[in-house]
Amino acid sequence: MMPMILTCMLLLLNHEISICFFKTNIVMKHKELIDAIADRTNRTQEETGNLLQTAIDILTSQILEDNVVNLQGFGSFELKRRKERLSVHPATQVRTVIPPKQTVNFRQSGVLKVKLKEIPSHE
Amino acid sequence: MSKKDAGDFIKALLTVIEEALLSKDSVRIKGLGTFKLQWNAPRKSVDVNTGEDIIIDGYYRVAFTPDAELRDLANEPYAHLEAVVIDEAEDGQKVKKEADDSDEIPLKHFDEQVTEIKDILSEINALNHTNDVQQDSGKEDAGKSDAEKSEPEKQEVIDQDTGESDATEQIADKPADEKPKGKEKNSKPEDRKKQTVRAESAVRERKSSESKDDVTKKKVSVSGSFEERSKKTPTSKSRKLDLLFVAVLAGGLLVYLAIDHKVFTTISQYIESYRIQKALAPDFEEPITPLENQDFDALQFDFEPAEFESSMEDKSDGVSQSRPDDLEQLFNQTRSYHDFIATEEVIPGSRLTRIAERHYGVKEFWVYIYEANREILESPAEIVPGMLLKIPRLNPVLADKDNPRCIEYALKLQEEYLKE
Repeated sequence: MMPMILTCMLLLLNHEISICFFKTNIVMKHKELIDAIADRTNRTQEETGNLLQTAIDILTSQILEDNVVNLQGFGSFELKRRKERLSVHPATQVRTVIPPKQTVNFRQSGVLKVKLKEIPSHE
Repeated sequence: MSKKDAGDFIKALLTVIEEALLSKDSVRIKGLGTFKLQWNAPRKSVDVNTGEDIIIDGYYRVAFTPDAELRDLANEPYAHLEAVVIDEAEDGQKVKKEADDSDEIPLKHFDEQVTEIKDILSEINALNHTNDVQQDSGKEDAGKSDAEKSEPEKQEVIDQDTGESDATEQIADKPADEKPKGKEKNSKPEDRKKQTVRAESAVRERKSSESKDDVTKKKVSVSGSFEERSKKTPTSKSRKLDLLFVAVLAGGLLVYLAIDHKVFTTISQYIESYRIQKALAPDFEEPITPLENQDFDALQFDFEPAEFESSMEDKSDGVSQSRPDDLEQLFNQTRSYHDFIATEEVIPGSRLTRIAERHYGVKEFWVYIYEANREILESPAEIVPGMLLKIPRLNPVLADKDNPRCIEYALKLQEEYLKE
């Protein structure tokens, strides 16, 4: 009896957290992703987990070396530099220089864009 | 593992992500980031070649937000840099603000004067039931402090004596003004005359300080008229008594000094000059409102329009007037915080306003949290994650979220603190 109640509570909690972050949409988490890929490739979840981890490691290391990583049919990742800028605090009028910054940028491919157009438009 | 297997794996990965995205889900991958659909609303644009207006349809695009881990890794070469505050610009701003302040100084004097006059008024009301001699000197003292206030504000060149007579005049005004609603407009000139008469009598009293009995008699009559004219405000007696004692001491000292310097010998002269002034420049006394009211009226109207209107609305009951007065006193008290509801740790994204809204229900009351935490907060903008803010328990009358005046006052405080 107790375990059942506990799992129920956990499920509820999970649900609530996901609702908190994205109001309407559901988040697919790492584990669910692994499950889905494991189903597709007929591997165990452990295997797929390891594979995914290596794939991500390679991807990130390539990105961080300033290489453009292109995944065909999906998009490309690259490192982008944001320039420094001047910001003014709206209430106190204190002016601050925000330092330059590097971020990972994702660009969707044309194929994906076309596919996305098929989604029924915004309500 | 063969190349083919790896290729299949990547393909499977991408299709899974794609499918999730196509069903409007977002995908979070540990160590990489989150893929999310973003709706771009349709917008107007111009065709570059033809110059025609066209509408670009709304569309979904895939947005990618890197993980905190990946973000930090990517930003490593710039991680040591921090935001720098530029000072010179701020200095320029400060100079500007100071200029603004100097413009506002006369206004502030008005404000102070109004509040002070109110304080004195309530004191006098409380005094009516206590002994007369004390009242006498208390009143005189009040007149003096009032004179000091009114002098710079009105910019009258004459020295202290005129100020004093002016002040007595004002005091005489007050009880009359207490109930402006009770009076009819056409009775105003009459009142004016009465006031001047009373002012004169007050001055005469001072002159003949040796004939004390006479003075007390007159005072009794004056205070009697106070009683008639103003319905008494319910005040806390113990506090009033303390104030009264201090006022008596200070008043006695001042009177002694004044007699010592023989200023009263020339007082009649100044009364004359003052009367002439008043006759010549009535609009100087009522600078703002076109209404034919007395100057105290005008002041009150300026600073508490809400209160004034309310008293205009319900003409018959005195409660509505006495309550705002209490509030005004509450506002003027210096607040000290000993009783705290809670302490709150500042986390990134915390705002004083939000904390205030959570605890008091109204975000405007953040000023009180700020006041209670002045030791750690130098300015309202300087809340840093990790700080422990004390949340004070507020007087329910002061922090009444249904009372527009409380919020108005909080906003006034806010303005002051933001200027600092």
